[in-house]
Amino acid sequence: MNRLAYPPRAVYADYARAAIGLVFTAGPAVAIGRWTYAHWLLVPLAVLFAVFAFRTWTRGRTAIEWDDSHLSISGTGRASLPWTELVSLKLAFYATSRDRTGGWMQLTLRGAGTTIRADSGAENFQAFAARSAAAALALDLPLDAATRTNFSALGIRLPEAVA
Amino acid sequence: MFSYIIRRLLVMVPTLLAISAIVFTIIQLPPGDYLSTMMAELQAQGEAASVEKIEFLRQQYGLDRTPIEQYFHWLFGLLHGDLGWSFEYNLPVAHVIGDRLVLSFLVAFTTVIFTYVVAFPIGIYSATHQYSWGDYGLTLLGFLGLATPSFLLALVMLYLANIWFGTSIGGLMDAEFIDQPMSMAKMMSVLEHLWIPVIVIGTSGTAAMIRRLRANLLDELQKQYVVTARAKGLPPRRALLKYPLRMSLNPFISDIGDLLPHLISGAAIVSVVMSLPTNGPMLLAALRSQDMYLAGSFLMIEAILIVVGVFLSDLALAALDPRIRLHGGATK
Repeated sequence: MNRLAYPPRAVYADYARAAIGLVFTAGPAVAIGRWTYAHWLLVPLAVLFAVFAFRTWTRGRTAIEWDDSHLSISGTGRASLPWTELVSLKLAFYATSRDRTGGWMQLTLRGAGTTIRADSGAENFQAFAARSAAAALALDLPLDAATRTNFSALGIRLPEAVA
Repeated sequence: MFSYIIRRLLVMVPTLLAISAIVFTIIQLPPGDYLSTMMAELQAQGEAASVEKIEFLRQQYGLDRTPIEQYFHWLFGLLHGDLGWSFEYNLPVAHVIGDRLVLSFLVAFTTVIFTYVVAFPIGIYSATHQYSWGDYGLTLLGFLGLATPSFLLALVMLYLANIWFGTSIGGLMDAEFIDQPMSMAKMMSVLEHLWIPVIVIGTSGTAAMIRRLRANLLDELQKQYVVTARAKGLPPRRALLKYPLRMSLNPFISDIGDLLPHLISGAAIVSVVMSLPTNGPMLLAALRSQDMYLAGSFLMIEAILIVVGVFLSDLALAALDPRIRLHGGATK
């Protein structure tokens, strides 16, 4: 059984982001006191950062395990997806700089009524991506051009798409 | 995508704080302040203001405080919805810029719509009919639009509008509607005057967009996937709109960040020439007279729009084209 999980380093960085965001949004919203037009901006942003903090907490407890027949997710929620029931796969890249020299990837798998996402910050991401690509190819699932390019950047070679 | 939005939002906070500090510093850089500028003007006119009165006003406006104190006072005021006090108009900044902001938005928004509506069909036609008579003719028109200075076009259009349509020269409405509350008659007057500045301000942008769209689309149309799509018998319209046009739009989405600030201060010179009651001329006057809270508010609104515009364009780009451009594995 293989396992994908998020190392503390990745989760702590996101906790820090959520905390900084809350300081700069909830902080002024509380300090101002009476309701002003600024609250219409600050309060929704503070809620977003709070949701992000919660999501980071759930992500830190999440682990994905897989073998030859299926993958399962454990942590705050549980789900299982047999590889043969995979319906779609997408590998996207989110750039943190305009020239796209930095950023992270997100792999999204859908099937059997569930959606499973994994970020490239997780340990064992490369192996998980390779196994997911193999499953998608075995089922002859259509992969968009961006997904193919991103797999290629990960060093995972896919056969050329048949038009 | 959610993590991406959060990271981009986080970058915006220190960016805006840094911009606010830079804006305030630049406004403070010229020697003296609004009151010393006013005193110099009075002296040039042969009048004099008493030292006591100047000191009283300096205290009243908070100009006797240190620049850092003034900065934080302004910053916390912004968070409270208080944009500060305009020394020149002797009114709260929000009151001074309120009406002009609406008219500036109207002119700029209509100009953007005009630019897109005119540029897109022409750009697509030029690219799909490369080196045809139509392409040459439209290219010539595009170069003319790029080469004609906006203020010159403004003067020509004002003259022609007056001669051909009897529209009063300059402004965004007839004189009797200035400072009047909004009414149907005033709205009709604004619409009657609006097309001239829209064409004048939009012409150069339209010409530039036609050239860029044509070049981008030509690049895409020569790629192998388009040749393959055509060879497979995909209908021409679908083979054009489905991918090549979509891919050639990426630079325009990146431009949203540059587009939004023009809603506030765009085309200041044209506004001066055409006597438009928009924000551009007021920003120029505020900078010249060191009306710091008025100028600072304009610049901060522009900065916020730039940062929000870049944020929106980054989100749109991430959604439209989530491809990696680096090699050798993903990074975090």
